[in-house]
Amino acid sequence: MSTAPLAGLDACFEGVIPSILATTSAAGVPNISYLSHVVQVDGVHVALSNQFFSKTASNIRENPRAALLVVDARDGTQYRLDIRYAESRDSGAVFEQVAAQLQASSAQVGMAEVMKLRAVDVYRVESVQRLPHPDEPVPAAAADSADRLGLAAALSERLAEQVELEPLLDTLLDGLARDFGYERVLLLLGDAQGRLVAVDSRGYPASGIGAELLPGEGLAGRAARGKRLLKSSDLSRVRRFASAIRDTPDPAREIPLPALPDAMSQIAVPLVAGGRVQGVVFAESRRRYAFTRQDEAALALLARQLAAAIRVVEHGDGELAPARADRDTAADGPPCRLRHHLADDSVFIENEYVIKGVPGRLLVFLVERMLQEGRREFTNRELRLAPALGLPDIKDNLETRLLLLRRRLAERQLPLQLERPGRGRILLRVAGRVLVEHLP
Amino acid sequence: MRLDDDLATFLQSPVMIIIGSHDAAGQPQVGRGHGALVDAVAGVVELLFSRWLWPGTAGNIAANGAIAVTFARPRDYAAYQIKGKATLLVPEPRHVQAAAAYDDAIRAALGAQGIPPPLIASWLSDRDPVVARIAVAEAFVQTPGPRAGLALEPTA
Repeated sequence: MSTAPLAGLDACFEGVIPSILATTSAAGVPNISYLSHVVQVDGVHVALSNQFFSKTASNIRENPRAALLVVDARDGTQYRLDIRYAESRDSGAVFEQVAAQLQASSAQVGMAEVMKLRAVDVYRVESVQRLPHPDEPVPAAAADSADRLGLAAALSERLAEQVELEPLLDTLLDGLARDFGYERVLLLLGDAQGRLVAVDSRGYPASGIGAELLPGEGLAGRAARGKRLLKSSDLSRVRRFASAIRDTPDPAREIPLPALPDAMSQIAVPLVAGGRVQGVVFAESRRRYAFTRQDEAALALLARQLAAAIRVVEHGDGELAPARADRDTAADGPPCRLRHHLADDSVFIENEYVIKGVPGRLLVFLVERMLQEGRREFTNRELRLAPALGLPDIKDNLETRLLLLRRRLAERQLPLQLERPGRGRILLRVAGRVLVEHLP
Repeated sequence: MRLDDDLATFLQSPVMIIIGSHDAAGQPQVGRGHGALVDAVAGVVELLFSRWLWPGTAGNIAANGAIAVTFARPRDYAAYQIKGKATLLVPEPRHVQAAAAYDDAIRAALGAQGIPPPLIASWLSDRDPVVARIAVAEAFVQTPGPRAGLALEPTA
């Protein structure tokens, strides 16, 4: 009988291939069922979520011994674990981890309530046995042996070189897309209301810049709300599993974000600094098991570094000379019409929707200053200090707002563009005279 | 117990088959089945599995006969569990044919769900086949959800 340490079985706990649990009642009647979630607690404990199979629960109270069969998602190798029930937990880190994972995966298919977790059962692993393989052992095809932490260290070094928000975000996204080989990456930053806004992406047909996610919505929203990394390694399985529970799942919600319709794997990593969630890095793939534990570890480190760097950028504008008060002479193109709706600060330029909320207010403020004072260059500092903006929440996220605004204007190729000539500086570039109209 | 025709059909369709048993000390054991033949009227399920891959399961059944088997459809997780007493038999040609047909069908069904053939291959073996002849005493709905664990009434 060969044995393998639990520590080497990460790929068995990805939820890709269902695990199997056998128990026996005191009267000697076996029970056998599939399990939706098995979590590796530490080197010698696993936790099982068992929302539905009450026979298992009652058997375990009578006879604490159980057998667990887990499958390595990469090559199908089966491991048989003899386990012994230790305790149930309805709170604490392990419970929260399982509950969040379960909620996240089930909420994606509209099943959050049905899948509500009551408790997790923690078992001690008494022995591990690798089962023989009927054929020749298959090489672990899906496993990417790339040194994720090594890549992360190199990327971290490049991030540390950046002093402004935009190159900082670009460095991260480019690194994840190019070095890590992630097919789709999306970066969302938070606003004061808890919404997440897409600020940039890689790999999607449309960038999705400016798209919003409500608090707690989707895997990214849940990761932000729980300040926790969340991962789904086999979405098709979640979908199938959910359809078995309810005959008529909710109609698919349309989320105005870039999305991979046939994604198999997703990972969402919150950007946490100073105890606050600044945003989320989200990646998805058509491959099953696309994100390993190494990816989790690497992304967690990079996300924290990025969050801390964003905080630094947002809290210091640097020592700057005052903005130049040049008269604008370049605006000799056709006039450009800007419509500002006061109800939600949405802004339309030439009848094309640009942005709403705080970035919209900022744009209008900048344009009106330009018209009143005849200058095109501004500083972050004067925006922060401008009473006319009346924005208490702007302090923390000014750079993010400006970035969003700048990218939206650039993406739509509008006659009004925003540039950043230097740290803490903003330059409005207009093709012609701007006509501002305020509407309710 | 006599089995419903629909249930009998389901048990013989391309479904994943998992086997629970236990030894004299009450230690449970997991195994996987490799096809089944059902006599609905007699309430008997003849289950094939590889003694080479699942020696503990074979030993347990030979020792005490207690068995539980869950059949789950890969497409939608619809599942039923049967429980009863089993005896071990040497496979007859009809069993071997059933196992071969099952092997083809389940590989296709799992493949249709996007599970790569090399993974499937690690769970299915026709090496050293045996038959567990199960007299079904109980049957349950095992499909995940509110009805999971519901006992099926014996068919009149």
